[in-house]
Amino acid sequence: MKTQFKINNGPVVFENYNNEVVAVNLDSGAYYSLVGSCSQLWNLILTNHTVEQISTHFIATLEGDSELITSELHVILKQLEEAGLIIENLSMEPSPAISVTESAIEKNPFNGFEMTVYTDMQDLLLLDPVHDIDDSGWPAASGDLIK
Amino acid sequence: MASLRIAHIFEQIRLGGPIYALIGLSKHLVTIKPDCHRIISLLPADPRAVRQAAAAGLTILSGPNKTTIKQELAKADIVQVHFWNNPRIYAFLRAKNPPMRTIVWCHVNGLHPPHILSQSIFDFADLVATTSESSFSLPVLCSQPRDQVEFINAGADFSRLDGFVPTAHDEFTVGYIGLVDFIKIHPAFVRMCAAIQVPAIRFIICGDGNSLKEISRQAQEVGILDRFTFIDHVEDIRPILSQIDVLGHPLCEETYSTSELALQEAMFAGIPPVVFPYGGIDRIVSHERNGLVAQNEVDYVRAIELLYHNPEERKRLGKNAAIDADGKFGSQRTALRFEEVYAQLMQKPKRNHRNSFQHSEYKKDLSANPGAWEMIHSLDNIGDEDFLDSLTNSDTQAELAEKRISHMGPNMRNHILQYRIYYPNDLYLRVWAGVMFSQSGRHALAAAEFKECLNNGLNSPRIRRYFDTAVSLCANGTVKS
Repeated sequence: MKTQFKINNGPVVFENYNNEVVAVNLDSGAYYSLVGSCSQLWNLILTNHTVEQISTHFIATLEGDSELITSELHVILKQLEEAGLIIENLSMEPSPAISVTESAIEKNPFNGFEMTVYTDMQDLLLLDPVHDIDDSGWPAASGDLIK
Repeated sequence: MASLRIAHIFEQIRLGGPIYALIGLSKHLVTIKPDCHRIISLLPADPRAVRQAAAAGLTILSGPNKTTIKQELAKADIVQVHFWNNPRIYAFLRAKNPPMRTIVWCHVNGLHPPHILSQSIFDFADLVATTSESSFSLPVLCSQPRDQVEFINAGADFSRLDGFVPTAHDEFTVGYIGLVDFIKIHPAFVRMCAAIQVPAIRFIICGDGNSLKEISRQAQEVGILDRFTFIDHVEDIRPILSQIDVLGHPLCEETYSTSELALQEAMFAGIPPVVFPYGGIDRIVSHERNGLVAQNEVDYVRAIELLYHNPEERKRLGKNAAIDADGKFGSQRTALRFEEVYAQLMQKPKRNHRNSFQHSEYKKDLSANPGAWEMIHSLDNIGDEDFLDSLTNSDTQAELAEKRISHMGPNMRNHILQYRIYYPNDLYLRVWAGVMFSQSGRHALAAAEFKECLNNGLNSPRIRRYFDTAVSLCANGTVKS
């Protein structure tokens, strides 16, 4: 069993957007939207955590059967690997264990690891990419502005 | 007398004004039975809209194939195209269809790109009907034969408000009803809400749309989220209207809006609106008679404050709003106008629609980058300069044009994406989508667009630079062209 993964930086680019990770495999042209626990998983892989550390973290922070969480974790890791988004990491040292903050003591229910695959960007429009946001994060306005 | 059979062509049936207008219209047309309205939604329809249409006895064909569409067109006495500028509607206008009598009903005012009323619409149709009187200021309308253009307002179905009674409530409530999207709403919407100096004010936002999250984020950022109530699209609008003191309906300057059914309904219910004079709105709201028309953001804020402090004025404007809505709008009036134009159309034989899309110059343009050229042609020489510069000029000039494209407003950005999705192999549409994504901070999506261009032969130095920049700004930022 593989113990650690890393982002497949060869063909994969990604962005964090509104608490979602949007990843694109530039070789296949497929888009992936990772939300909720799956976006958290992505960021844990990015910060060099081992599968065991990640599993321990989710069991500590999610409300649900620990075996189910572990088993679903392995399923999604396999899917991410098959999509070419992550690859096995044979070289890097793991990060220190993930600390569970006080706020995480109140566990969120486990709703699975949600990844959606798009072969074109039509449904990604739902992520609202078209609006004209200026540097301050506001849609650009014209005319007399309220200061 | 046998009922006429009307085939209605929509890009996609969704919940909202157009389907309600059609349902209301069908109730009042005496020469057409409801089930003789055949509504063709070129894209799969929203099931909620299908249910509502079915309840009114209308038939919706959701995403039918070409054979079915042609059969429906052949059987129809009249084909009514519901026009917004989008690639599917233009593809329909270009298609080789059976002989038809056609009316194009424009649900956009045509005042701003991309929702231009192009000459090709007039070349196609036996009759073009606008839904906004403001469209008659357009040169393209002025140059048409007078008997080929009509104004037919899309009227709200006021029977939806039967039994409406305002309810008592503690907080002064400003409502917005309709599409929640910055392609329609004023960009400073939340900022204006925050500036209103009224104690215990509440904002109800009722409707679907892509900007719900953004409005919520902005309200959070300025600390007024607790004053907002978001309500999904509702079938029965009465409980929402009953809580509203003022309709705050500030649309953006480039709005394509015309009849604004939600505005008509609120006015009919005696709720005074505060609006901007953009699009067709100032033909609906008369300043200081049945509502207030703000000229700028400060004006909008002051207008809401004025209506809070002057309940008698609010009452007066609301009363006039109800009188004017009842006297000018409503689906019964729309039906009477359509009875006339349908009768007029039935005097004509069905004909083949050989139109401007057959011109040789047009065809020549389409030999390369057909999607980009289709989009440009749909703009009919209005606001298309930057796209032409991008397509036809040197790297330096093209880059300047693409920088301007990246800063275009929400409506044009939405338009580019619609064409980009419809023509996924058109590399220039990908460039334009890519520069737009880059500007919006969507660097992974931008990188994907530029990579596709590089892989397929559009590999000029500027595209390689766009790609490298997008990748470097992605969260991982390591891929190289």
